[in-house]
Amino acid sequence: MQQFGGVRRLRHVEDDDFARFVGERGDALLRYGYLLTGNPHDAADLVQESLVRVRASWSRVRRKHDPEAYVRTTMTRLRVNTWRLRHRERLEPSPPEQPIFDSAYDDSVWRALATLPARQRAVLILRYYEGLPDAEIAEIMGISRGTVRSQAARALDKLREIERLESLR
Amino acid sequence: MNDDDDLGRTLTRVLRTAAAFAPPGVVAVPSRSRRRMARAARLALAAAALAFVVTGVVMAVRMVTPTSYGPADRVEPVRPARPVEQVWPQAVRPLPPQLPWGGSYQLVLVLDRKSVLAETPNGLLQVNTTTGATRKIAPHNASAYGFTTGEGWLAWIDEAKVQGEPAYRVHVVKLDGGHERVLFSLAQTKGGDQIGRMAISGGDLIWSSVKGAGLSRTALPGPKAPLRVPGTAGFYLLAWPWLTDTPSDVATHPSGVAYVLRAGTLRNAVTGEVKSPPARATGCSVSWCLWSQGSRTLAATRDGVTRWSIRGMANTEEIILDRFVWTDGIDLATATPGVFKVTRPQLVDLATGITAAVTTDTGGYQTFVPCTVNGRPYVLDMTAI
Repeated sequence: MQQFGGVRRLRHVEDDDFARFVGERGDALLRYGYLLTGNPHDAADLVQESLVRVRASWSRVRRKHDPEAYVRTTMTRLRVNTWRLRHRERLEPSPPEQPIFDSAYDDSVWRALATLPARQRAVLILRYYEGLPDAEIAEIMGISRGTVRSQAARALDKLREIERLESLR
Repeated sequence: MNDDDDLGRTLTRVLRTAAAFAPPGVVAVPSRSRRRMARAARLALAAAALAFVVTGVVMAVRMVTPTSYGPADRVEPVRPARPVEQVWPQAVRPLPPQLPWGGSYQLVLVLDRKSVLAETPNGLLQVNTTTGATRKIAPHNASAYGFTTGEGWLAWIDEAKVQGEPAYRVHVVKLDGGHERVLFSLAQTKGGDQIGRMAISGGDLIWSSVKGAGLSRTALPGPKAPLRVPGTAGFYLLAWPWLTDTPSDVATHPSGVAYVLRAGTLRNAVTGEVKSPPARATGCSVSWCLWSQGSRTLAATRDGVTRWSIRGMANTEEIILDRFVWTDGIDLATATPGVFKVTRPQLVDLATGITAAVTTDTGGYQTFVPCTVNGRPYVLDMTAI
């Protein structure tokens, strides 16, 4: 009986721990999801699906030094590898309620990001938002460093081309 | 400055702005049972949809809800921001808009009180910010990263073939003269180790393994075979002599010389002192911890003695030099809806509560930031504050 009670207490601690993690980091994960997906609905969907997966192995994840990094990696891989197969890609970001960028140029860059394939977009977010070196991006996405570089180069080329076309308008 | 740098900076700015103003959402806590998990996911999606329908209501609630603190917290608001050139004039230095021959450059690092490291198509240059005089440090190499200074030395890493095989090379050069040299190299292998954060202290170059093998050191000027620092396995260099057990704290920013830390356990490599992360903090440095509360950010020392209430959303994962934090300075409790534009990021000194407004589009995690004062290029060097 005592052993039974111990297991129950452990589960209770785990539940509290997980709930606290979601409560504290939920907003940050939603922001990251928003960058990965380009719209708030898919961001909430992606965060939720990632948390469902992580919850199943929380007892193991919570022992890791940085559970949030684990969740972010799950979100990135889910977004790039499997999630897109089951969810329709929205090519246009949802227009924000209020203008958030200081310039039309920044706004056009944000919109251009939405036209990139999920993998290229993720590489740019990890490199320019998270500030990660290519070696770490490769580890998170499960691809080679060469692929990181080529995906980034293609994405930047595409953004430059969009920028050029915009300037001709 | 080349196109890649410009586009990279634009992307950083755009992504940070988009993240800061991401529409609010709702995340449900999934439970362990599969049925409950599925129900939680469905509920969360429904709640998220509802949240976006009533976004205006949510924002209104956030704007009128006062932030409350416990009576024992002794929270003080940080001081209102004033222009950085008035707050810390000793730390703001003009930069030459161009090099003497008219060439443009990319600011890489502040080297000391009178010079900066600049990247140009012709190579890495040491630029005297007073006279504009330049000194070539090394040829241009696009793979160079991890720049570190200390005790009159500059060190960095690049990637090159050594004896026909790909390798990481660590270069060092004295800032007061002399030629750069390769201190040592490390073979690149698939899944193999890499050189993480570096520091220069006690006449040694100290660096961290990316794979958790601990720290190594080599006496300058070398070349000598690196030696393992005993008892450091499983730890990563944060800012000498502090080590962390959380790899993402230090692997995040290869060019970073700032303290960047989420919430790991710290160990002082010299004294053996250990600091554990407080439960509710989302970001800690050696002395300070930050977390969000409503539209403000709270800061406390590790022992909880002094606390600040910071206006706006601060970057709680980046405490620079164990002292400074960037914030957008926008208080949702008083801001007019629709005018949430970040025009001048604010830098808060946690040691004093003094806050400065900085005209910059970079912000970030380094101990310096390029900025403009009256439309002219300057650099804010936080080590001079």
